[in-house]
Amino acid sequence: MSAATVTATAAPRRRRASGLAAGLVLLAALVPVLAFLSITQGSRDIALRDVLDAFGHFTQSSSVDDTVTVRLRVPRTILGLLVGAALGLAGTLLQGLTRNALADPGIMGVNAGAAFAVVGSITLLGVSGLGFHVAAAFVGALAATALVYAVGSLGRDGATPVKMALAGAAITAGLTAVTTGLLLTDLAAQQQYRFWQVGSLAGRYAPIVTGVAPFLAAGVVGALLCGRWLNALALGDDAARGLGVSLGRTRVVLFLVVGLLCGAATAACGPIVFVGLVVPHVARFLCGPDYRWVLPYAMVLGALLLLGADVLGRVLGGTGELQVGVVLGILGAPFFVLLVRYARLAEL
Amino acid sequence: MTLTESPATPRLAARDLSLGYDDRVVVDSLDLDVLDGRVTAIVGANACGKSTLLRGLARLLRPSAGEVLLDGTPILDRGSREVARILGLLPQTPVAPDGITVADLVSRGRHPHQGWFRQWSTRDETAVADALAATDTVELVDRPLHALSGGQRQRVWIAMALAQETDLLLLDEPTTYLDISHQVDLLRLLRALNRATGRTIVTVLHDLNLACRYSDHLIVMSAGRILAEGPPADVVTADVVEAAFGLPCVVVPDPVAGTPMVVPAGD
Repeated sequence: MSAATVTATAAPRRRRASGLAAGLVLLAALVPVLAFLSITQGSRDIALRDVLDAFGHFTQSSSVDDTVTVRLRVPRTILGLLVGAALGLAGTLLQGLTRNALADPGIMGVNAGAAFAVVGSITLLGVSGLGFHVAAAFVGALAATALVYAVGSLGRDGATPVKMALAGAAITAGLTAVTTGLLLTDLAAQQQYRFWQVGSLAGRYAPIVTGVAPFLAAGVVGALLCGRWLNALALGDDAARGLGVSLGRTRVVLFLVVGLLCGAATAACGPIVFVGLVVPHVARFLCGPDYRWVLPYAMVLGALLLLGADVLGRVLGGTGELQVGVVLGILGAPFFVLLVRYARLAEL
Repeated sequence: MTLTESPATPRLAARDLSLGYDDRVVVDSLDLDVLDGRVTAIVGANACGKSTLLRGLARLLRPSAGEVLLDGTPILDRGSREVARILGLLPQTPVAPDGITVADLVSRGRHPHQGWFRQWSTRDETAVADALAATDTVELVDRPLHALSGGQRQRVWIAMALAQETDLLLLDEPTTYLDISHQVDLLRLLRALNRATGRTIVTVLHDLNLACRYSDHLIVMSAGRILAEGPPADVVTADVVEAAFGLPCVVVPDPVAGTPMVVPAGD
């Protein structure tokens, strides 16, 4: 009955899909450019030729320049891309799951859980060293996420978006209070904690990167598969169930992926805010409400934003470096204000 | 199409069904066979349990007792996706993300037919095109949903439910917020869809006269139970209306269609 109608609807769909795909390729093409900058720029001035040489003949006894390049800048770049992608995706999943435009990993108790575990392991267990902090933060972030989900799903309707947001806020407040209490009485712990707490890619050596990378990679793949579900959930709980989405199971899976992404990211870099909040908005602004596109866009944009901010911090900071968390806050906040003011952001 | 008694095993049925929220019983041990291939309207006073019954039939609520049967099997025992290929639902207040186009929204009706390994197909494309054509919304495909009028928007939502290609379609007060002419348009559309494809349609309606005019079968609910059911002409009497709505009235034949028309009495 409708061969003509099929053509009428199929042609714009294909045009639109190829436009979105082209945009994604264009954005992805910026990733190697930024990675190149990240490996060549830093507080230590290393000539480009030496950077390139470093890859050719790296051994344990290589020069300082070679060591900085291969042992510091390369893992830092990889971590920046992975963590940025993870936070962009996690923010998108959370905003889609809760249908709350302000949801970011922070409100789900992830940061508070990680911070509590780091401080707890320093003050109560007496462990120190970045590697231990990362492990503790990962466990803490996952535990807090699970706790938020458990508390949020109590009661008749299960884990509704509102209950999850409230549970996240309450558990964040509680954990933060205990963390602060522990820190106030322990000066030595404060010294260690403040370096983890600021949110930074600096000093994350290769073992940390290889430690968290599998979790981040698994989370990224998982997140990219969730677009169909988020598209259905966007129509409301009833409509989503009418379309055959099993709400309980879907929420558990989405929460698990978010926990994996945020837990590993926060563990490796400390709490980095803003990426998870702003990237989904920019992605939706660029490609509309279809999550099968929003997710890959958010992944690439998150990676670009985090690594870009880190490179900028190294260039602006001179010999000192500005932590990526600080750069994101200083540059990101005004940018977001402008975005909200001049570009009409999509509501969920 | 002739109106005969329902066959032995209806596709959708309720057995001793009780539904409620917390301790409050809203639907009370109710038995119901949905007539296959007909348009059924559920009417009743506010808070009589009609929307709750529809939500129960659509497996959005877990029964506190009894069960809903789809093709003879308890509906909650079947996979959610499998049910969604048989039974479609238009909730009372669906939400749409900002900026979504008509084409995108209607395409989302294909969800239960797709999977991670079965993405967009020509079958999906045809289903969407047919749904748009059936609801007369083809010209709107590239428009954002929020730019449409209330009547157009409701047609698009129905197109989404049609794209799901289910044999049964449940609608929860689809005419709310529409003016009288758009209410009539929508009910004509539902009846036309039923007549063209034999799709079973169950809809909760507020307007008794429109329900009489555009449904084959009427279910009048009162206090969580079925007060009366049958063809509108048999069901709607002054006594039934007064018992269900507490409104003294006179029932006269609709001057155009001859279906019962309720006129309030006693001014």
